[in-house]
Amino acid sequence: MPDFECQVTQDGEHQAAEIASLAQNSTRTSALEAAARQTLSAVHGRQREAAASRYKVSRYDIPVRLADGAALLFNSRTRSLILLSDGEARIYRELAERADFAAGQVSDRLLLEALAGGGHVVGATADELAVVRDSYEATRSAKGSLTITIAPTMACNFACGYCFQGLNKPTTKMKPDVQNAIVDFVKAKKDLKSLNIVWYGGEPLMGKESIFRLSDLLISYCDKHKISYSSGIVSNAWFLNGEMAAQLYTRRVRWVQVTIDGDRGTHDKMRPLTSGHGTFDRILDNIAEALDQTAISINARVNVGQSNVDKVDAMLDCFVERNFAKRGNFSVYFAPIEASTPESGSAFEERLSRAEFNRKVLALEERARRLGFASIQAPSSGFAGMCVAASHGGYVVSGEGDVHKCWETAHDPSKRTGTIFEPDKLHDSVNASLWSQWTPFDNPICASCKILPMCGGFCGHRFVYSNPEEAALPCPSWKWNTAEYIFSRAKDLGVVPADQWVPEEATVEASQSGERHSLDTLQAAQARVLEKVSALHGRQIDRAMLFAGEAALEVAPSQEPTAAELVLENSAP
Amino acid sequence: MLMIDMRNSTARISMREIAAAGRRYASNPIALSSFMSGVRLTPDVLLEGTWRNTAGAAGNFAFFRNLMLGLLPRLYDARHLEALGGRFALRVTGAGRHGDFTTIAVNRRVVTLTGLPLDEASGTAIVDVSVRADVFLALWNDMLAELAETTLTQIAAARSTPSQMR
Repeated sequence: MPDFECQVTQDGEHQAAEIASLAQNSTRTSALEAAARQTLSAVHGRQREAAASRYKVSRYDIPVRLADGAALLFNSRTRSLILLSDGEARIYRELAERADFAAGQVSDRLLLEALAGGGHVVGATADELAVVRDSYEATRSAKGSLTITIAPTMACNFACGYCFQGLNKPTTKMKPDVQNAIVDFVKAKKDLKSLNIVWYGGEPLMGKESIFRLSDLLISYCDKHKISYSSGIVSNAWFLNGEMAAQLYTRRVRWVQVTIDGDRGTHDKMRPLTSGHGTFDRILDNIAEALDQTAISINARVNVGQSNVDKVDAMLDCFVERNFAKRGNFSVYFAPIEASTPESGSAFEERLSRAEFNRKVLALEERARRLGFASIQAPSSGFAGMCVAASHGGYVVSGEGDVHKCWETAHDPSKRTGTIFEPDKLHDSVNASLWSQWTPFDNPICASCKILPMCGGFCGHRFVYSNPEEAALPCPSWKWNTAEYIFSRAKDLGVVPADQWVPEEATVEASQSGERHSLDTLQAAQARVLEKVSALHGRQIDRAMLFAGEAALEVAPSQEPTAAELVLENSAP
Repeated sequence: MLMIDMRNSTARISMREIAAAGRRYASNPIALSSFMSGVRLTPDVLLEGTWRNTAGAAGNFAFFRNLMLGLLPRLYDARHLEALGGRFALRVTGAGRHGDFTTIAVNRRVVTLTGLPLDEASGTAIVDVSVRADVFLALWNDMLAELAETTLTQIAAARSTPSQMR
């Protein structure tokens, strides 16, 4: 066999020349030293772990069997995805059956190193749940970034039957004193590094003057103080013609989320104007103009329910006819119609079961990808559930200046956490504590879930305001289509052919992501939040008070009956 | 094992270990060793951006393509390749359709092309060695780590004569 290793280790003459060269050029030497250290930190040390080092399979590993005996292996904490041959998959399955194992028990050392490198196996004493919890809490309370969702008005020109804000929306618009208070609120944040604004409503473009004025003031301030500024808007697109898109784009609105609910007939029935007229054609005309005239990204959200699930294909055909994929910056995603608030109207009848929705959505997503309206399936990079409600640095401000933690309560003043005119008290109310005290790590379903590191509970609202009548479950599609999404990603990257899918691996059957939430588990999670909030505020807070909102929750303690008074009251004849 | 979404594996394996494992990692370890012994590594190789390319499917196996097509011809000893017959066909298995490379000597220079040469008589592809992608990556990890260690030793030696440093 040739003496391979001598090519790296130079002979004496070359070594001396290299040392002389290094001695003469300190800049090159420093660069080489840094590169050498970086190289050594990026590869496994020569002194490999002793054969006695013990490992265990990661609790966040999700294997997906393939038809030829090979397996895809995904880790939701590291997002590592690898393909194991049938032999390697067999070794992995054996390892997974053991509580822990010694390095020396794995004959293929490279396989063990690769598994460890991807986080698929971890040290036998590692507490991965604690690692995820620490990461979640660090993200949740990250300093330096501020996300504000601003509703310039709750008014809307559409009358969607399933709207969780109900149809009786106030028509007032945000006044300058509220706008000024928002600017003051931003200015008061010390060490702000990034500001992210989401324009929301109602229909935010019905309050466009506020958007323009606030954008100008906030962008100027951020640029002056080297604060990164970004923004997007959730709009029904009725007013989003080319000129409006240009005005938004120059104010750094980079994305628009527009809801389209099926083909013309279905959409016009589900999302009519308040006058009853259809909206489909004008929305699509506006999208075409916006895409042609600006670089703004348009993300079409398709709410899928009983009456439109079979019409979504026809809608995709309309997008193809209008060349939306070729125009660029256009994408589509699907969301279930769910009754998340008591005001959710026809959503109570429209909703599909989560299992049914996710079965249907797989085919729709596949077609959207094929048509160029969606990219290859990918897991979220951070916690998908780290929204304004979960993050300590997130706020929703209504047109009246009420501050909320969640988009889904913004229409209901009784659920506000405070007002923008009293920024120092935003975290003091019971409503605020409901959000700060909620954590996915408090309930056993989330804590044991395989996709917790990607999801982070996904939707705090579904826990805090869990209501058996609404029956809205929090989990994202990754929970319901775990194996399908992993396989889809590998297939679309050209790693596995379609015929390698094993039907028995369907997540609905195999539950690779773990146990699912039910109304009971959500109620238990809600009870836990109420218990913590009661302890924090020193008085008993129950479900009825939670739903009654501010008037019931913020009663001064002195006005509440004391325990002794309650005893007397109960013992009275 | 094939990486799809994964930062490059930190694993390392030496040519001797590959040879000792028989055909487990490479179809012909002796031929692979002969080929790899034509690689000439100098400390400046550590500064190359190629090593930061991803070796997984999600990154289109950029590491292997940039290494074989861009970097290897600059590092390879043309005379050594001529001694091997002037051509070497390598299949990196588990790198999708990006895994076939032919390194050839042309006018005392080395060039790598994608794809494999065909046997004129049978029309079948010629493969001198096929090696698992994760093994090939680990082999380069090992070579680089060794180079890095040698370089740090040389830097320490150079610094022991500070008067010469500029």
